[in-house]
Amino acid sequence: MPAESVPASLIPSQDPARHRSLQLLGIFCGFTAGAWLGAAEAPTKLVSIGISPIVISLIMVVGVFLARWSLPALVLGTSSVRADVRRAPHLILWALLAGCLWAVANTLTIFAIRDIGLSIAFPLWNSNSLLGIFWGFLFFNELRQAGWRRWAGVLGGALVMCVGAAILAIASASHSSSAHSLNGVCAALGAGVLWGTMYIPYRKAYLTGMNPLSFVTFFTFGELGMMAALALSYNGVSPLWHELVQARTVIFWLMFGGFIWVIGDLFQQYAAKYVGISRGIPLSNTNQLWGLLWGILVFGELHDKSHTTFFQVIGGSLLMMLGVAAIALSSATGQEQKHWKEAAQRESERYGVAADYVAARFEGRRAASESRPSRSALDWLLVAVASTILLAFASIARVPQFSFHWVPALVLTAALLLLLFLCGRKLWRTTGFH
Amino acid sequence: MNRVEPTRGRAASIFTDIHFWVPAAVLLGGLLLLKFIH
Repeated sequence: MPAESVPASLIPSQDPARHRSLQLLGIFCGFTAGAWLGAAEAPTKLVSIGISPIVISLIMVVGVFLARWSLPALVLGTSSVRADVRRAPHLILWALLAGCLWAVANTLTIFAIRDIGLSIAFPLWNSNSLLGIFWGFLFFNELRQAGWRRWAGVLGGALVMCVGAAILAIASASHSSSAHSLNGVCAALGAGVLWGTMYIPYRKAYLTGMNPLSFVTFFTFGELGMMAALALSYNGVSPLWHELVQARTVIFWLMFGGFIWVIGDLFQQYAAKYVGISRGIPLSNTNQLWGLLWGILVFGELHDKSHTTFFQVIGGSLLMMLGVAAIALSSATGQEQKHWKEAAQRESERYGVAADYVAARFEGRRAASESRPSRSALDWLLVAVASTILLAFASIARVPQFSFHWVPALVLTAALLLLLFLCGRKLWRTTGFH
Repeated sequence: MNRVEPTRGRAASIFTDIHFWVPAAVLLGGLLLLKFIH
């Protein structure tokens, strides 16, 4: 149904101060997401034994699954997830779909890196931000009546970030292309299309009012189900089991990487909710910058490289920061927000979702008809089970002999924890994690 | 609760929603691509 047929009063006008506060919160979440998503690569660098990339991906997704159920249970409780699903049950389908898209994209990146190397593959799939801008504009009224300055800021910023990402990827490339280069290019572009499209379900869910913490709990079923299906179809049951048993001493590091990744992804979800996908995706794509910081400072990568490589790293990083600044300074105006509300009203009307719920969640608030979220014994049980599984694998984990610099690792970890604390506190104070 | 009456049944709303078909088509394309390059 066209948005014009919906009464304008369904979603009331937003207080400009509140609007500004949510925009700043979304930008902060995007930055924090980049830092945590980049750090998620660190534990995987400890894995140097010969495990197939698909099995590595599967183990990480198991860690992701544990985190995606235990963190929401810890933060708001599963009662909040159940309440969200009762209000908008149709979104479960989109959550599963998004999870499947993520798993296929992630598998494609493995083939892309194998065939064309990270230097070419990374910028190709990082183009997902440009597709995200397109879907955001087409389906969710993002950047409508935003003015040429904001268009230039968002689109120009995303393009500059892609160039910066390409330079960084070339600088950090470790292997050359193979005979299957066309396959690799197709795989990298395919991953970018899948990841860029994955944000359609995200934005749909958050415009409807679903809490990101609720959405990810169902997203992860699609993610784990598809990843398990791919691993089984490529490896077969018996070889897969054999590889998992062989990898038991490093399973903890991979699952821990998945756990860290989920924290970053949660902030990415809040960024997509409060600044939209056209701005949220590029901001969280700064994960490449953080991944490189961990690689260079902590794991001593590039230590034997030439000055040219270091200039490339500095130049690429500056370009990425310039792009981020351009996007961060192009937050949505009140006029553009009116178009977002039209998109939200369309969802409310189409699926019969309570208008007060959609309106309240649009403003990052709990609806008056909602009860206060609370934790139950089930939530503590979920947290205990996830912690026990992680601790069990930690007890048999081995730390490989590795070039590791403790001081920068501690500094980066402190920066991560500080971002987690500050951004988490702002999220809690501004929205109560809604 | 200010509940809005849906314009049609839930299944009909989902399967006539382009927001469903675009990701579904992209997923199918991704699976086919994976099969092709593997």
